[in-house]
Amino acid sequence: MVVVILGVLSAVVVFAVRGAGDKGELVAQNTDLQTVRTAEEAFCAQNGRYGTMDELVNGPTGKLLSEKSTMTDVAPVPGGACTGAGDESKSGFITGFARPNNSNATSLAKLRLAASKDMGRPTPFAWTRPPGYLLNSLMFDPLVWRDATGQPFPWLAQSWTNPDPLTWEFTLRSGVKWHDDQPLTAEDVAFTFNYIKPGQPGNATLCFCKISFPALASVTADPADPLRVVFKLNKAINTFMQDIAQGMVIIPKHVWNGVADPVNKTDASAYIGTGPYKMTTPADLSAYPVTTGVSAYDANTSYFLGTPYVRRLEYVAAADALTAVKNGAIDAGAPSFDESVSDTALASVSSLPKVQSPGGWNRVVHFNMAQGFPYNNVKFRQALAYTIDRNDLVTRILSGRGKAGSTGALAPSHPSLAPGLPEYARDVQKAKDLLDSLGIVDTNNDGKRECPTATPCKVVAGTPTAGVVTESKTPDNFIPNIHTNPNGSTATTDAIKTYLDDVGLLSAIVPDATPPASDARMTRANYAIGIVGWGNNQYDPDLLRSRLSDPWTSILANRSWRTVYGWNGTASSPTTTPGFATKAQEFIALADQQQVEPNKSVRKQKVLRMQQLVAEDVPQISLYVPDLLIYYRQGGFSAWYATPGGTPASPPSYYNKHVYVTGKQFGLPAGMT
Amino acid sequence: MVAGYVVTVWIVVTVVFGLPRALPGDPITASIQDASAVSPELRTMMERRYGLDRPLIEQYGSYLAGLARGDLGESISLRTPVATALKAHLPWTLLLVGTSLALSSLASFIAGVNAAWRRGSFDDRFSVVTMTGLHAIPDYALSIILVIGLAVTVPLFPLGGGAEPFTDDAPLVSRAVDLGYHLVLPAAALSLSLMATKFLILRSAMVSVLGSEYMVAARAKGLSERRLKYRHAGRNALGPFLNLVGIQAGAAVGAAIFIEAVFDYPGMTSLLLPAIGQLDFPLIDGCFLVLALLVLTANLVVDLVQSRIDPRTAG
Repeated sequence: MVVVILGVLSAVVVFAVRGAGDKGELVAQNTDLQTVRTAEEAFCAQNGRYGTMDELVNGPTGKLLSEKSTMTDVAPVPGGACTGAGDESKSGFITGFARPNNSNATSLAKLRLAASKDMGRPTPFAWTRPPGYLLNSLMFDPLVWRDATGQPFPWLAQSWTNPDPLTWEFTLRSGVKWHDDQPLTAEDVAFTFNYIKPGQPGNATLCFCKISFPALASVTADPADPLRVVFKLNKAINTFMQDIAQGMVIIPKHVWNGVADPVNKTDASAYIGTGPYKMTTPADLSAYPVTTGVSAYDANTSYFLGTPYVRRLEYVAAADALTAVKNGAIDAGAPSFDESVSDTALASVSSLPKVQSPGGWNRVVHFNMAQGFPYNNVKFRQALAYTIDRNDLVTRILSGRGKAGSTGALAPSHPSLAPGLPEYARDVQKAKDLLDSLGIVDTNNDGKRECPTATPCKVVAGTPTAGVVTESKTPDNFIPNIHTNPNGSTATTDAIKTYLDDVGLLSAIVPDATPPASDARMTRANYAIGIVGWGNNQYDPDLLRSRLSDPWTSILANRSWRTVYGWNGTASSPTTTPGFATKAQEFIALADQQQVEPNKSVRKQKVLRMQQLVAEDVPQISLYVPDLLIYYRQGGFSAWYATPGGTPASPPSYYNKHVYVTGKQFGLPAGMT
Repeated sequence: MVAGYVVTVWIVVTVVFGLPRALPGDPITASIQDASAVSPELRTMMERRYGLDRPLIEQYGSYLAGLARGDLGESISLRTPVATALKAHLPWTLLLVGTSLALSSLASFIAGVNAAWRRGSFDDRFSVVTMTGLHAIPDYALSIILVIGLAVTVPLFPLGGGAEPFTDDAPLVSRAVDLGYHLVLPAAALSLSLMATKFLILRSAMVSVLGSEYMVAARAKGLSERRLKYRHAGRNALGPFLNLVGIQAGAAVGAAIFIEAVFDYPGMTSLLLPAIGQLDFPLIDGCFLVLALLVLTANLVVDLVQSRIDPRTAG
């Protein structure tokens, strides 16, 4: 008995000591990070810019650090302003843990993460959602990638040049091999982009690159150099690096050539990439469990950047990621960026280390101006903007974990965010005055507003695929339907309804039966006011064009600008908004100009003006942008970062393969070139 | 009986085919998050591939023809044959539902017989109150209570999943133990939620049986208490109990949907819920058809057993 008791006690002591050690290491890391940040601020105060680690140790302003840090890396951004530590999303340098928790280790045996069920099959043509793309990117590489600096970063491409505005030349790294040991050549790159262009079988891919395809004239391999590939554009778009170079993974020509139905190619060869990992579970790759996502990936020991730091990635079932992290079932877990994470759930994991970053996804109210009065009148939309208290929503719905959406449509953390936009701070009286000016007033003294007889309001009902538009006439109360996704936030829609009640506008929240039904309603424009959640509003500001004026992408959840005004410059729907046509024309012109404007400051001015127009015309109201959160095991892998501007081809996420490959937040470790 | 079974199956097949297609939305948009990324060419190609471009009646005809050949079609969202998807998930649901039905039936039979035998005693009253309480708790709530109690607060059992992943090479015995370990909480939740009704029905039937004259006669013959309780009273109280087991096969499948979701158990729920969300018609058809056939088969088996135990119910 005594032996048993002693055994139990010793086990407790061992665990306790190990925990203390883990915590000690974490404290040491944080202390080192703060020291480096202080040194950077001192350097910047004297030099007007941030310095490299070398400069901090032996720089022009003396020895700010006694020796190079082994725990923290720095990455000064060229031209970055001295904005102060603690706000590094806008500052000119980034710090990060170098090889967290085990700075001398060259590898981490395993990371176990929560499997995502809703992401298709991770082949280049069958992933369906961003988590699926990220999984696909473990096995496949694009030409360039992004790390925690958010800047394009050589990946399959060793270097690139832009000899003239319409030409991009890429030189591939030498010695890169596909998982089946075939060499990667420029032919593969040219094949990839020719295989996915419109009219070709590969066009079935959901890659983000397709948004910029209209600007892509040709992609050809240099016959004289097997590592050189040339992209010719018919329009010098600013988003080439984001959309084309990062947006599509390169696929092997010897596997995909002649495949007529790539989406349904599920055999093992569909997973042959150049990527840092190979899927090893399930053993039969054609049996990949789409419904559970449970799978494992082992490091590609022949990877061109060296054997990845994390040697094995396991994705396991976890009904609740936070509880699974807490119980040690997984190493790290990011709760949904939606507001569905309760304070109670977060309190239960408050002892775990976490990383919190500004988000890009937003929940947004969209107006379909094409439905007519009053949605096509800016005063109505502004009235709703004045009555909806976005800061209150951040407090009530997000418990402060996020920001109110910008009225200019970009994420609040976006570097091109326009200053001084109309804020539409809650002002019930102003909202009432605007409604009064439209003749939407309470004529029968029931406390609720009715529409003017001369211009009856439209109410959109009906099924998602067959909308029915009726007119609400005096003395009927005007009750606009607000269509939502059934998985959307009922707390948010309830709050919106209450805000509208405050100005005497009765409204009806109409959730569709299923998310697909809601998608169908939005794509078919059978709504007048819709609340949806979407988007990476941290992308290149060209997103303003693609979301609000592009004929292809704006069909979802946007019936504004060009859709209302008409693609050919002729109004396709009556609008009673004075000056709308002028504004729409200006917005569309700016959208097209900024897409190809080579001068950064000129382009920024155009982007700022576009935001101003959006803020003034209110085609949408971005309600809030939740922060991103990831929790990880105490003492566990801690180099997580949310890629500024979004992980290539997908929204911001902590699951950027760069961190698994290098174990670092930016750059490549020594030995990886 | 068989003819009735066939007609029922046909009705089920028709309803299962028609209902998902009555839902608003379309599978092509639904299977892709960013619907704006679906080019017209891709949409046309996918609609042709899955036969969605044909009139509904034609689709129904080819669905029936496929069923006759044993072909359940191809899942739109999974891009695999529906039969393959079912093969991967159905065994988990069968394991959970089968185990729970068996456990709950055995436990409620023993508890019901004993409670009725000691009618009015503390044990009886305690059992009735407990079972009534259990009956009032929804199965998903029971699951959450078990997760919080025995997987989170006191982490005795795994949070979820059907087995420890990546252990395909482990010895058969340890894999079997692991399966059982992961099955404990979901099976407990389902068994507890199924037990109460059966207990109350059996206890009631048993009370009636205990007042019968043949029980007095049997007791007068000096038979042992155990023999009296189980062979004479228990067996004769089995009728309504067995009927309930048959009916509960359907309820158990329904409850398993919720319980699997809470425990992230890799059964039919992980197939069915996304299939509904993505309007994957062939997969929804396949799931519902198999589940309906399961329930029908369970009822058929119960009918056959019933007629064997009590010949009066045959025919």
